[in-house]
Amino acid sequence: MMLRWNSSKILVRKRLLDSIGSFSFYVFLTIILLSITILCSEFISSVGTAGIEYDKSPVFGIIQKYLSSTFGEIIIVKLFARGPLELIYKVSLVLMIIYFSVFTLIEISGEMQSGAYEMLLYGPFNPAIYIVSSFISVIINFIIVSIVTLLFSFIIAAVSNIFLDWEVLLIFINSLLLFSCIISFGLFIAAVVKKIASALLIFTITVSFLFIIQMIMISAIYGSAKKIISYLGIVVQWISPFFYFFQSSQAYGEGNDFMLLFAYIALILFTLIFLALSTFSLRKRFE
Amino acid sequence: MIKKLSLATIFLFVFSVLSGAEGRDPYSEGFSFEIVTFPGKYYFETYSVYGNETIYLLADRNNIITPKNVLFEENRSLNKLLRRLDILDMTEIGTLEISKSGKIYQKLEQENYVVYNNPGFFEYKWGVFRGSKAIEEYRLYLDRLREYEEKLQIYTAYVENLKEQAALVMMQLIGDKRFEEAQKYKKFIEDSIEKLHTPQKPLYSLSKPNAGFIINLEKGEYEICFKDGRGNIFEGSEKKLIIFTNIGEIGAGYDVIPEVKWTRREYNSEPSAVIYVDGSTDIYLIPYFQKKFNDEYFSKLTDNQGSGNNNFYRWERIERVPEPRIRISRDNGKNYESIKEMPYIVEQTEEARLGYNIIPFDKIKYPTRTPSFSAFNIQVRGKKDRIMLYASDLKNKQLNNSKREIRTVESRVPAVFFIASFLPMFFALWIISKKLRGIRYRDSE
Repeated sequence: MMLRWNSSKILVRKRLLDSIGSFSFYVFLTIILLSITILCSEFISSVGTAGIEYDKSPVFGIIQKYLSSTFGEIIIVKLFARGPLELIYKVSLVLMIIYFSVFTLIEISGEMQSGAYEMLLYGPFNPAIYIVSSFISVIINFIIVSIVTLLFSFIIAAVSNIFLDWEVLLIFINSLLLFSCIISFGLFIAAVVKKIASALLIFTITVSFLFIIQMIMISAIYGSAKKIISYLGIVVQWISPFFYFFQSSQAYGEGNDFMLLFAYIALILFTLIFLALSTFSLRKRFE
Repeated sequence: MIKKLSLATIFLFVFSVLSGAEGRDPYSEGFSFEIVTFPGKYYFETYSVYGNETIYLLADRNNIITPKNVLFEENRSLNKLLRRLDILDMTEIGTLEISKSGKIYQKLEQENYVVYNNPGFFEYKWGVFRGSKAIEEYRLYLDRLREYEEKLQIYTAYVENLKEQAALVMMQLIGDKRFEEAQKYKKFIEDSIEKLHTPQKPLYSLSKPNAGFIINLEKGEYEICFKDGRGNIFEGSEKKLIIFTNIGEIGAGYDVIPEVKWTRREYNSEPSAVIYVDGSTDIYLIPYFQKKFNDEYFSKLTDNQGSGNNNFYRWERIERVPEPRIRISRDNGKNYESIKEMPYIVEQTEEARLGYNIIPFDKIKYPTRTPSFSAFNIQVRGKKDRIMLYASDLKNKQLNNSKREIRTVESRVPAVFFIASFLPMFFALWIISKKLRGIRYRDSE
């Protein structure tokens, strides 16, 4: 048992070092920090004499135009009620999901394809340790980047007098749960599909599909296409982590604790199910 | 040859489709419900169109529906059907049937109504008189209006007469070169006219009596249709009816008036929101009561062809808070001080930078003028100012959701943050150099 625990720790450390030691990690971090700085800077330049004047900033002008035409003008009022930080965290979350899921998927699928995973099985490893260790290492990576993002945005906000409070931690928890759900799904795909390219394609298509369905469901666009997608969405949303993420954000805004708890439980449950399925699939695949 | 032919066919097809779309008659005749609803601030008028199968109305309020045969014009740029002409008012030729879950719930007959506006304590106070009371109230209103006009006529004639007589006396005095007396007499006449009691127009107003169907229902989903005397349903009159109400308690929002653009008000509706200002000018706040509604329902209530988002709620301002108080804190909420609401007057000047000055209204200085607006003046002190505030009512009770924060931001994000954003790239370069060194070391071995 102790041996398995130690080997699990070694694998987590190895994966963390692999990630933190990679060139792409720092490029990714630069992109995130630069996005924060640009968004804060553009937000400041859009502040007028009695509120935010979106036309004053080209970036916020485009954001306002796109978001209000897709989701209605109300989204702008809600999103920027306290400042730009909510948008910043959501942009960072999307970037983190894209980067870490692709990175993890390539790494895990690569290990399966190259035979590195089978080598590990000769040691004290088993599929469960392998999956959980991989999952934990990505989550730690996510937490590290989130802390850097939060700290950096907090400093900019403090210097520029932009509103900040600890409610942002709730966005962080929501994001963490959504992220863990998507990553566990990525691990499942890597465990089932043999080729890296196929795994990446299936993962991207599925996640994009669920994301687009959710966006259409909450959009303010109406018409026959929306009607058809809405019928599809009613079924699909119950298995979509994006739906529960949206539910949790909405529940917090409305002060609906029951809905918030329900969304959290659903996200945790999805994560556990996909982790279990990944372990089961690995066991079957390398029997 | 085949390729050219197919290209030509495609071109002809596209051209014919486009020209067909362009040449389509934009006018069409159809059934429409004229809808008059009262969300709290004032009455909105909209109309149903074919294609939009749902009508949205407010619960426990008098909503007025009038069936009409109208001429629509299709406006492609607005993507809307505009009502151009009322061909026939169909109110008198049928009944409105409301069903709930397939069972007939109410059968409505046409009713007379007038909409009244009675500004009192609140700035907008509106309502509906129904049936015989509507006619009676309108008759009373006309009587009062006539009475006012008569008094006004007598007053005007009296003033004119007085002025004519005064002119004759003045000419006499000037002719006798008694200029000082003439001046005194002129002043006396002007004062006398000012002291006269000017007839006051009735403060309230009423719309003309009209006939329609008044719907006052509980929250829920219903179906409506308009039937003629024989029980036949008019084509296009079957609609789904969504009756909704506001959600939760009444909140408070603020009109934010910047000193430099006093006509350009920004409404701040979100509770606990931050009002970001650039600190270049003072601002004035006016607190309003507001209600929370489903965004889509409210949009379609005020414009049946409008669009909103069913997943979000919006705050809609209702009316000014009567005799409000605002308390502000400049030390992170430790100590709050009250500020007073004051009437202000906008005075045009040539010297001022803006072309006008906003100054406190002084009744003695400006006896004939009325204040431009009445608000709470908040002095914003340059960059990085932070003011917390809330509004309270007459009894000093804090209004729900009235907390806000005013922040003035720096003019730009310091350049050091742009440089700091690239710091991870130094790590990346360090990693590359370390890896290259490792490769070189292995090669040399």
